[in-house]
Amino acid sequence: MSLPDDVLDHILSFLQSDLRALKACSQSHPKFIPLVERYLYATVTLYDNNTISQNGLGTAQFMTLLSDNPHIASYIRSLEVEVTYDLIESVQYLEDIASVLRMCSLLNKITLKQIHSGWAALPEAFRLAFLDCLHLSSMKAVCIIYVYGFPLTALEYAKNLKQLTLRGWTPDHDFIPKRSTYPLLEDLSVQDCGGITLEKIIIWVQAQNLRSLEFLGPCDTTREVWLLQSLLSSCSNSLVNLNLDIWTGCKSSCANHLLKVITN
Amino acid sequence: MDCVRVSPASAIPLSLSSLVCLEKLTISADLVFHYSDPGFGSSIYAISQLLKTALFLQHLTLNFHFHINSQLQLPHDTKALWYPLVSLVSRSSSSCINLRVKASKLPGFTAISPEIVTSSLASCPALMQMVRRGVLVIIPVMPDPPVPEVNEPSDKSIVTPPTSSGNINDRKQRKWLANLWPFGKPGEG
Repeated sequence: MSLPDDVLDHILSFLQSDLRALKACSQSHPKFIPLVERYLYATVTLYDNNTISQNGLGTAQFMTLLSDNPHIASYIRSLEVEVTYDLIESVQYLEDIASVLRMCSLLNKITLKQIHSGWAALPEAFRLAFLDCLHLSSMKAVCIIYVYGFPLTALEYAKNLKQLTLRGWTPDHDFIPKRSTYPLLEDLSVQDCGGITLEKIIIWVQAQNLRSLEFLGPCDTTREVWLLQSLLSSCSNSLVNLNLDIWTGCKSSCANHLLKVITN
Repeated sequence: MDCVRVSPASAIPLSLSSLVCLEKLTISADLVFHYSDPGFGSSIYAISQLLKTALFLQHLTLNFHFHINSQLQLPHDTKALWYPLVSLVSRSSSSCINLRVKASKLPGFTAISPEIVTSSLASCPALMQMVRRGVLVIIPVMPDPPVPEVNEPSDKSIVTPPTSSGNINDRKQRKWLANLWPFGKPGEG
């Protein structure tokens, strides 16, 4: 008995989050290899060092893989880049990653996580390749995680962008989001962003169709509470899904204070 | 607008009343049990007040991390202990509430395991009545188990993963699951 490829493909699609199972499948029968590849490499994480990602490959190995099998680049839908930039080799790694970015023409989601240095310190080849990815017509989601100085103005040309995640981001002076030029977001997640960021975000999402908002704090000062309330008001006619995390960890002090205000 | 820390005199409470389309709300909070003034930290009441302003809510998820400020046990009087939570659930406009019971480390406090919390919740008749009516669903969220060590076949398989360009004809390198193979042997398909 042999199942049609489309049925096998459907079955394998349920294993997308289980890389170990996918790898086992690919090793179990040669027929599975091309079917598994599209799921095995749908989500890829690359590092600017020799860290091995969940799919069992380091950046150097992934480069070799792509070099031997360039068609795999077309399977990548979500690409995450984690930058520590604490080694001299980081530059070479980031330039390699830039090459990968240039090969990925069907990305839906891109994530940049940075730990130490700011955006400006990254190699120009990497920065240009990353910004080019934002402008892909397939790009739907962008996550900027603690990347100091990342130019959000680049999103002006990300016409199909729907989801934006910002962690620890402070806007550059040029970022003045005009509703007519910036993409219409549907899903926004904000954490550890200052008041200036929130003010600009409020301008951006005002009167848009923002359907999902995740606000993970902080919300410890009167200004932050006021800005959160303003953010909620700015999407009051469209917001369907709200995730609030302002009562955990150090943020819980805010809850106690709020309680007192409400009960007074 | 000043930028001082929130205080009783100057805070602006949140309101969700303007969110006319809001259907799903998820709230995360640390609940710290204080023995000197028995009961969980005031987040439940604050959240309850916030929920009053969510008029059209259909699904509510509460991610609560429980902590205690000593090695003491939770009191046996669960009716009093969980009264604020009963009040929150009964007053919410949401038809179904998922309560996810979590344990996480809060500096200076001891996390209470989800098993202990759910056991205590189960001893509260009012909450169990809500569970039976389907209004409340209690979900203990266990910490991730340690990743089991799996021996990779060889270092080579890590460096060179299976690809369509690999040598697929070398049967000695393949591992077959004879009794579980549902698709026929290679070459028959």
